[in-house]
Amino acid sequence: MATIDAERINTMIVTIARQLKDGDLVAQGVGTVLVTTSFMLARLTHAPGLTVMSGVGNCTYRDFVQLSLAGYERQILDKSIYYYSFTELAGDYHEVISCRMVEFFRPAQIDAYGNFNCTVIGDYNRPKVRLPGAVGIPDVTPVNQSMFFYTPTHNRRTFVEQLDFRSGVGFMEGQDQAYRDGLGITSRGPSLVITDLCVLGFDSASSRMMLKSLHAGVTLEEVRDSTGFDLVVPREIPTTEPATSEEMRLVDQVVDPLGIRRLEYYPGGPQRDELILSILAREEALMGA
Amino acid sequence: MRSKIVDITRAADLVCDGDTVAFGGMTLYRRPMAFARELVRCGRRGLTALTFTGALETDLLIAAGCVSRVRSGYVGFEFLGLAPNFRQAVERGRIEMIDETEGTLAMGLRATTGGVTFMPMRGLVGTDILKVRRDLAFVECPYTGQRFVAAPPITPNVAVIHVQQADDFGNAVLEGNHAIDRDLVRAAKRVVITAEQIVPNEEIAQRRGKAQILGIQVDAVVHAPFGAHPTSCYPFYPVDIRHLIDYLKLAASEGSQSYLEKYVFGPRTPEEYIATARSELSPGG
Repeated sequence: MATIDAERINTMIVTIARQLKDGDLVAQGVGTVLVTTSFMLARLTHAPGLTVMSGVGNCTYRDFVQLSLAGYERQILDKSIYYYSFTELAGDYHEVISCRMVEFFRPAQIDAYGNFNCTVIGDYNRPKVRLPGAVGIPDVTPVNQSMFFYTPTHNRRTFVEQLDFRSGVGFMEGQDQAYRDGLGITSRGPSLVITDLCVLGFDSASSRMMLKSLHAGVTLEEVRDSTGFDLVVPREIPTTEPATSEEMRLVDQVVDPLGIRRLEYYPGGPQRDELILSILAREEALMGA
Repeated sequence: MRSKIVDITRAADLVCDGDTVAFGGMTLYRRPMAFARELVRCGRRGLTALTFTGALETDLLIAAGCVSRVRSGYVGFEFLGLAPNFRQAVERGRIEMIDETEGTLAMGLRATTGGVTFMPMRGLVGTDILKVRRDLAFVECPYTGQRFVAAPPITPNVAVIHVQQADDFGNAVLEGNHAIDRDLVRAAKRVVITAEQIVPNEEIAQRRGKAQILGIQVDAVVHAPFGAHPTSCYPFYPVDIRHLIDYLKLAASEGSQSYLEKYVFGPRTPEEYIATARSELSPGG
């Protein structure tokens, strides 16, 4: 099992936060505690007007909400300003994205063109791993203009030459926008891929994934070894701007003092169960239960 | 007007073998768990579990052999991990999985409630959903010639929703995290409401927020305190994470039979289940 590099994860968290603009509408998916940490960090720093559309609570909130586990649903529902039905959100999605509605996806697999898989590992009809499912990903990826990817596991199981299933459409096989428009894919495609090793974008000429920056201490060789396809590599590769001590203070003391964000990258098993139980105990102690 | 309040076993009679049953709520929040356990006790077979997002209710019914088909956009336990029985059953070809999306569910329900035979929708293009959902057709707009996926109607045989409050006619209050519950009620042929609290009709009418579910669309009402446990019922009780971790551990190590014995077949009444299962709950009933 690879050891978790806290500094690299912190670089991911702040990089995700920096993609948000003040006044943005951002979608919160279920179980996405790492990006939720980023959203709340952005809310406390450069994006105080951030509005979260929460799939966890089927509600919209603008208030700051600290991460919690058992108490989280109550926190966001109490503080929310609007309840929506998901039929409303999904059925009226075209109207929703006329505001800049930012979505972050965590792919189980992603290919060189930003197409990705959240449905099955292996054959669809007899999978090796049946994943939960793609929910809204097949609906939003053809039409949303503000999409980002993140993964704390940049390796060859994630970055693959050939997907087992295409749940979300990226740049397809590299066709131009005129072709995409003809199919009804009005999205201009995803923007960035933020991983525990680096930040990637998509080359405007070929639509293939392109390295944009390496996190501190990460080499190009390490990224290549962790990627199952050829990346477009620029001549000069900057270093990803790391987290500031103030940003990490906000994360550790204000946004996520219980360290719930770890649940997005701790591997499953007894260690993870113990972590959840210890977080739960601390949460209950803090609430004075 | 006759009261629609019945006990949970009578309500479960509204579900026949082979039915498509839509379960309300969201992942780990406000699921009709007492009703799901009752379906297991009654030995229903061949059900299709329809959910926007599925978790324990779907996984438990699969473990008990009640479900042969799942229609959902997501079946999993959020930050707690994959749904073990669902996952295994699909991987071994024991149940059929129909991958719905937010769009196919939303527009399918809208087609039913709108009384039309399809609803055009954006999305799905360029994805493999269209490869595995051979039942989805395309339609060409008669005005512009533009092509859309034609979402077929979704009409569950039964929808079951756990609510915070209901009166004896079935008017019900939903306090938040509605998911697709209100549309399930409107689209399903039969509707069961399980309620934390039964209140007088006047109390609902006096609320500024009124009701979120109309009684006229409801067939049966069950008084079911803690009826969502171990999922949450805002604001009364949060999700019981320890219970869910135990469920997942048992499912992984020895299958779910011991869980079913202890929490489903063991307790003779919902009250006995509550006494067996609750860890730290505030009273809601």
